[in-house]
Amino acid sequence: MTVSLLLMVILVAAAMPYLCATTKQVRSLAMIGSTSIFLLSLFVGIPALFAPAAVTGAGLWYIDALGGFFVLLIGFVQWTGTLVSMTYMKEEEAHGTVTAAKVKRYFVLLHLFVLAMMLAVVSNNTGIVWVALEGTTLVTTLLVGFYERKESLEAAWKYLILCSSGIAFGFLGILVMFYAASTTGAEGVIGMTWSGSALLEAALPVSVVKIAFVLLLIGFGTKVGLVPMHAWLPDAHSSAPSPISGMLSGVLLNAALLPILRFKNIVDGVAAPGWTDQLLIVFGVLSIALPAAFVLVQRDYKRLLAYSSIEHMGLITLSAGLGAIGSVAATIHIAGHALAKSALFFAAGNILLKYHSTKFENVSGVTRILPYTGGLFLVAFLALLGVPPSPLFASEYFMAAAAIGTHPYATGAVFLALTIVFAGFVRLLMPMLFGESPDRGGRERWNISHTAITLNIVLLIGLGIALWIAPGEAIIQRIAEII
Amino acid sequence: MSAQLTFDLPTLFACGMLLLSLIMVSRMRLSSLVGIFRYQSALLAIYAVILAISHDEPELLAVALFIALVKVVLIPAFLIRVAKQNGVSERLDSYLRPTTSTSVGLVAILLAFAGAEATFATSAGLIIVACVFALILTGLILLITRKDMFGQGIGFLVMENGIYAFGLALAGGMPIFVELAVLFNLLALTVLMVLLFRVAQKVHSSVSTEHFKRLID
Repeated sequence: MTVSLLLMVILVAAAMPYLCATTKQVRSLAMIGSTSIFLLSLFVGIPALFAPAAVTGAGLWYIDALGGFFVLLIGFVQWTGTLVSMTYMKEEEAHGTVTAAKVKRYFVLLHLFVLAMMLAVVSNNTGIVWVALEGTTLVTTLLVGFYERKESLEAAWKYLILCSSGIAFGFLGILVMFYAASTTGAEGVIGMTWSGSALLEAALPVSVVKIAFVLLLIGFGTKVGLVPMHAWLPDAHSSAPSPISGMLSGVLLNAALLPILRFKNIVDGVAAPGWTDQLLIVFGVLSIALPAAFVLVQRDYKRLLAYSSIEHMGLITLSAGLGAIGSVAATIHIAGHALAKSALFFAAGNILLKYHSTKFENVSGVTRILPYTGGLFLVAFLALLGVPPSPLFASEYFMAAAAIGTHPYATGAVFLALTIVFAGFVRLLMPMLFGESPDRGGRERWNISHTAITLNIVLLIGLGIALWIAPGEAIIQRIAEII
Repeated sequence: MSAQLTFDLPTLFACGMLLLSLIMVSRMRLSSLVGIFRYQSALLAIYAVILAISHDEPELLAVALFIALVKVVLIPAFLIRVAKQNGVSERLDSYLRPTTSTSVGLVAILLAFAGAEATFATSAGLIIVACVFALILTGLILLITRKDMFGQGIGFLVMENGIYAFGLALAGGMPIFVELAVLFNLLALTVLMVLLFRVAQKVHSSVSTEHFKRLID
C-alpha cells in the first residue's frame, strides 16, 4: 500500500506543473511534491531495512533491505535535486536560457524520471524492472537534449541509441532466465519475478543461467556505464542540466546496478562459487582503469565528474565481486558515491550559472567568487577522493582488504588507477577552486541550492561516522548480506 | 498433420524475418528500409498468431494485434511522415558498400547458427532460435554501419524485432502486461527518435551522424 502510494504521489507530482499558471507555482509545487516523495520514501525504506523480504501490492512490489536502501537513496537525492533545480531553473529562466514552458516540462520530466527509477527498484517483475529502466532512458533523453544545442543533440542521440540497444541485451537475458525458469516446470509469471526466481534457483539449468547472466551484465552494465559499454555516459551526464546530471550519476547508475546484483544472487545459487565474481571483477577493474586515462586529459569539469562516475561504478562492481567484505564495501560505496557525486554536480550547476562555461580554462577562483558553492564543492570533492571521515575511505579500505589477498595484481592496478585519478582531480580542480580570477561582481548569497548541497554533505559525513557505531554497522551488514 | 504444420510454420516465418533483415542490411533508400521493416513486423505478428493457435494461448492473439498496430501500422507510417515533412533525404548512408554489408550479414548469420547450436542444442526449434539470434545480429550491423539517424534507428527496431521473436520462440511469450509495456516503450522510443530527427534537421539540415563529432575527448 505504501509503495503504491509512493508511486502515485510521484505521478501526481509529475502532473502538477501543467496545473500551474506561473513558473513560481511550478517550483513551489515541485518542492512540495519532492518533499512528500522523500517523506514517503522514509516510510517505505526504513522499515524495509529491518524486515525480511516482502512481496506486497498483490505481488507487484518486492522490498527487502537492499530495495529499501535504494528507495531511501532515490528519495533523498531526488529531494535535494529538486531543491537545487528550483534555483537552477529560476536562474536559467531569468537569463532567458529557457522559457516558462520549458521550466514546466523540466519538472514534469524530473518527476517522471524519479517515478521510473523508483519503479525499477521496487518492482517484483523483472520485465517491469527492464521497462522502468528503459523508461528512465526515454525520459532522461529529453533532459539530456533539453537545451537543443548541437552538443545536446549529439549527446541525446548517442544516449538513446547506445543505452537502448545495450539494455536490449538485458531484456534478452531476462527472457533467457524466464526460459530457464520454464524448464523447471514453473508456469506463468513466477519465472519472471524476484520472489519466484529465488524459489526456483536450485532447479535452474546452469548453462542457460550463465548465458542469461552474461547478457544481463552486458545489458544492465551498459546502463551502469561499465567499460567498454560506457561511451554514452560522459556525453549524456555532462550535457544534461546540472541537477539532472547529479541524479543521473548519483542514483540512476545505482538503480541499474540493482538488477545485476539481484541476478548475481540467483546465479550464485546455481553456478559454481565465484563464477559471477570473476565477471564482476573484470568489468570492475576495466571501469576503474579506463577513466584514469581520460581524467588526465579533461578540459571540462562536468565531463571530469562523469568519468569519475564510471570509475566509482567500477569500484562498486569490483567490490560486489569480492565476497562478504566486498559486499560491505559495495554497500557503503553506493551510498557514499550517490551523495558525494550528486553534491558535486549540484555545486557544478552553480558554477556553470556564474561562469557560463564548463571549460577549466574559463573557470578560476571559484572559492573567492562563489565562496559558499566553492566551499561545498571542495568538501564534496575531498569526500569523493576518500578523505576521512568520508564513507568512501571506509569502502575503499574494505575493498582493498577483501581484494589484496585473492587478487593482488588487480588490487595493484586499481590503486595505481586511483592514484592517477586523485592526482588528476587535484591538478584540475585546485586551480579552478583557488586560482586567480577577475571579480565578477556581486557577493554570492546563500540560497536553497546551498542548503540542499549541505544536506547531502551532512548525510555523507553522518554515514561516514555511523559506519563505526553498532546500529549503523548492523544496517550496512543486513544490506550487504543480500548483495 | 496439424502438429507438423505448427512446427514448420514458425520456422518458416523466422527464416522469412531473417531473410528480410538480410535484404535490409544492403538497402540504402529510406522508404525501402521502412517498407521491409513493415513486412518483417507483419511476419512477427503472424508468428504470434500461429503460436497463439498452436499453444492454445489466446492472449497471444492480443499481443499479435498490438504488434500489428504498433510495428506494422504506427511506427512505419510515423517514420515516413516525419521524413517527408522535414525533407529528409531518401538516400541513406553507410560505412559499408551494399555487397560488403550483405557479406557481413551472412557471416553474422553463420555465427548466430553456430552460437545457437552451442548454447541451445537441446531445445526444440533450434533453427528458430538461430534465426532470431541472426536477426538481432543483423539489426546490430545496421545500427553500427549506418551513418544516418534513420538507418541506426531502424537497425535498433530490427534488433528489437529479433528480441521479441526470441521471447515468443523460446519462452512462449512473456506475461501479457510485460509484452504491452515493452511495446509501449518501443512506441515512446520511436516518438523520441522522431523528435531528435526533427531537431537534427533543424540544427544541421541533415540526419547524418557525421555531424556528431563535437563530444570527443
